[in-house]
Amino acid sequence: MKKSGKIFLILVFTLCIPAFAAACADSKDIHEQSILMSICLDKKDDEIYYYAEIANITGSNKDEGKSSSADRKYIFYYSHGKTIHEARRKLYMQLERRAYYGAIRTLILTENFAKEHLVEYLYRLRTDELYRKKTMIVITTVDPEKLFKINNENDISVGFSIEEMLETLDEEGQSFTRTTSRMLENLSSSYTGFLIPCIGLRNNKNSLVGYSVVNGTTINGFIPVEDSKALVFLKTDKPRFFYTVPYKGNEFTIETSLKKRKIEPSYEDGNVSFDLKFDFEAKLLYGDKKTPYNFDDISNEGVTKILTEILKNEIKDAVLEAQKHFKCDYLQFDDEFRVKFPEEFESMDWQNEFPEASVNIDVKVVLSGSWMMDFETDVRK
Amino acid sequence: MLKRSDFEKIADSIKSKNLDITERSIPFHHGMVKLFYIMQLMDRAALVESVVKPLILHCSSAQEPINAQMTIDTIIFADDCRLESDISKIEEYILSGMAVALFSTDEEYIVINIKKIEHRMIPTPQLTYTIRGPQDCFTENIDVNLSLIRYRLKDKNIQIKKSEVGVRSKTIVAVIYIEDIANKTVVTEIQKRIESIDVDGIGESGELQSFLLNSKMQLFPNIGLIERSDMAFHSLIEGKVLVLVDGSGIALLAPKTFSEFFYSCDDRYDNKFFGLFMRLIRYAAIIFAFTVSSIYVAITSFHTDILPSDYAISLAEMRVNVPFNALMGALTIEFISELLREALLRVPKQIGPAVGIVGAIVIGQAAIAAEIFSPLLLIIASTSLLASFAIPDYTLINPFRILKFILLLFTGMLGFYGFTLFLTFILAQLVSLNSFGVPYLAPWAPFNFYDFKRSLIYSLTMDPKRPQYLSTKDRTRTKR
Repeated sequence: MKKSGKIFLILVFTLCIPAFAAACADSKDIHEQSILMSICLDKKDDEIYYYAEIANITGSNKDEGKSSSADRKYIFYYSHGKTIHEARRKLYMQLERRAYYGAIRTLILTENFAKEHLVEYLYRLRTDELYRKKTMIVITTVDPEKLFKINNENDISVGFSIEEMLETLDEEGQSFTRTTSRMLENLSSSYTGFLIPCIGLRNNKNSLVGYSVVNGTTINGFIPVEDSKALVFLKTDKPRFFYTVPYKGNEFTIETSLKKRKIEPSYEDGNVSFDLKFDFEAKLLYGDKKTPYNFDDISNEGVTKILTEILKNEIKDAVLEAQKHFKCDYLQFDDEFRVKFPEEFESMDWQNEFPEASVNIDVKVVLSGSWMMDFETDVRK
Repeated sequence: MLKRSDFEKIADSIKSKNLDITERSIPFHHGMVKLFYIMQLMDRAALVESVVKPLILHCSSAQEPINAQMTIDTIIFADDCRLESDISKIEEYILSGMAVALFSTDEEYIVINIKKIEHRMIPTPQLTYTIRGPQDCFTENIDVNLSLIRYRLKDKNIQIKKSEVGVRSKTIVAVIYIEDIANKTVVTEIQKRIESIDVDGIGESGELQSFLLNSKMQLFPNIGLIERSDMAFHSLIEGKVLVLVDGSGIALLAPKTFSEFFYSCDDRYDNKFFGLFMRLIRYAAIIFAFTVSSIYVAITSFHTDILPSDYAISLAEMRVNVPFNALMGALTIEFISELLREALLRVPKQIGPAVGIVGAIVIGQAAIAAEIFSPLLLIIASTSLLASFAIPDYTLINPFRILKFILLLFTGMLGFYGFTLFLTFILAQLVSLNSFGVPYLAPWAPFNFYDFKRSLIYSLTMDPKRPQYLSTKDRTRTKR
């Protein structure tokens, strides 16, 4: 080998060794870290409370500061301080190993905390590379200590449990979820609001209880889950709900799925308006009476009409609530308008325009009644 | 005419060198014929029947002297014999297994080929086992190997060019190809490289292979190994060049590209879709064998974020009492795997299973029970070892076995960055290689759709052309 080649190899080798060694020292095996499953932030007595649920990989941890049995699969720690940083620093002092944020499933914020620090915390998540941007964010109405204790006693991870529950509801078309990245996207537009799922306890089990309305930088309302069907129709792709429709003394149970939703914005003479078109597919499942009932075309028409009216009213109420009560576009109508009228959108104050926008709602329902076979058969006889 | 004194001198010279040469003298009218041969290389029955017996019968009754030409024409029955006059070559002929007949009355002598070398019966394949294909394969005898090829290939254009390699061993090397198919450049290059070999002896095709490589420092094989005569036939038909070495049961095949190392005989004989499936499995196997332990190290030590949370917890639980870090664990277990593989190759067949049981079950179980290794790492190492056996030509996996350790070190130091960096080095190296002028990564780089399709799914009915990257003289296999 030529002398220059040898010198080159020695140089490369010499440069590589420190780089390799530096990288090597920085690595940390997964079992040498405390795997956080969920984090909860609360504000009480003017102090930030930082709760962390950590996977108990050793199975025999006996440190101070944890509030449950050492044999549990998950243990939770908490600390508090004047700022988020201070609270977090104090928590680190209790941990045996470096905190690993990559496995966090759910970020839980109490209403008290969210009212003051939601935006600060979301921006913190944006800059912090340790978190997954797919992490789910929820608001809780329950005292975090109670939430963690109840779950811990049942050996359930709060993070996993809430995430799986919300994902299942989302897949079933019963609810919608918001990841951190989606919220950061919403936050970047100052003119719009968004909804965060709200978690509570029902029969000592985690449950979706509603949605918190975030307007600008703070929480300014709550929509209970019982009144959220129309919201789900407006915000998710394949919502599906069951309706009970009274018709001629019978109460028919109907499975209603949204087939198509179209939000058509228009802008004329300085007025913003939206045409909302919904195509529903409905399946008549059963009635509540044993009495034979011939579900003919007239009946179909009658039931369809009532169901259409119910759906239309629900959607109308949901839109009006956003426009008139919360005065906040958490329905994200701005997305549609901005795409169609970008220049006009730039020059207007959407925060003021949205509540004044006129909304026309058109609902079409196609009801199939073939599920009433036993009723029909009886009549034919 | 050879003088009597010269005749005696040559005979004495041959005998004096202690070459274990047998001499048989047969007197005739005013002269003597001497037969020289090495008994161990001779078909003695044929020698007696075809040469000695006719000579004695003739000489005992003849009233006139005989000479070499007359002996060939009218006395001996050997089918392969010729006249020679170069005295300096007598020893060479004898040592190569010929019988030499020297006449006191003639300056020419006869070289008779009634060589018989002890060899194995045609064995069954040991390297490339197949379920459906023929079971005959090459032996250490070049004539037997040639007969197996000729039996399958009756083309008049077949070329068998024999030469001797090794100053002392004088090993016969045969370059075989089909004249109107094989790429002339490849043939010339192979012959040129063989002719330029300057070595005292070649005992096996592997030794010859090292002289045929592009570079002395080359790690990846660019010459294939052929053990089965049916594969030799298929390769010749494709337009490749086969090199047989006397004394070796494995022939060399060139050119050979990276993708061709994944072809198995069964791909030709079985359903083509099954062949495709198996090829994909083999490609996956080499990637798995090479990278899986490094990926484990990268994920465990550097990029835990890519793991779903529940896997992260499982992984942490498995590793919580393990004393080694992921890199040390992976290096150690890969070392043990290699040790086990080497031990199993070297031990007698009878105790092989015992070593396997001790290595795989006892050590594996004990290591997990003692929490020296994580169970997942042990599964990864054993699956990686298993995957390495799925490649039909074992010579391809050998460089990857070495490079795996370097990849582990790179990954252990730099995570996926190091992993990607080293893979890029390897890829750059592979792309820059060629096998006798054919790009090593053909048909992927340079890309050729026809050959690419053919590299995945092979069928005689679907592939009317020969591989285009081979640049054969006759590019079509079938006339449509």
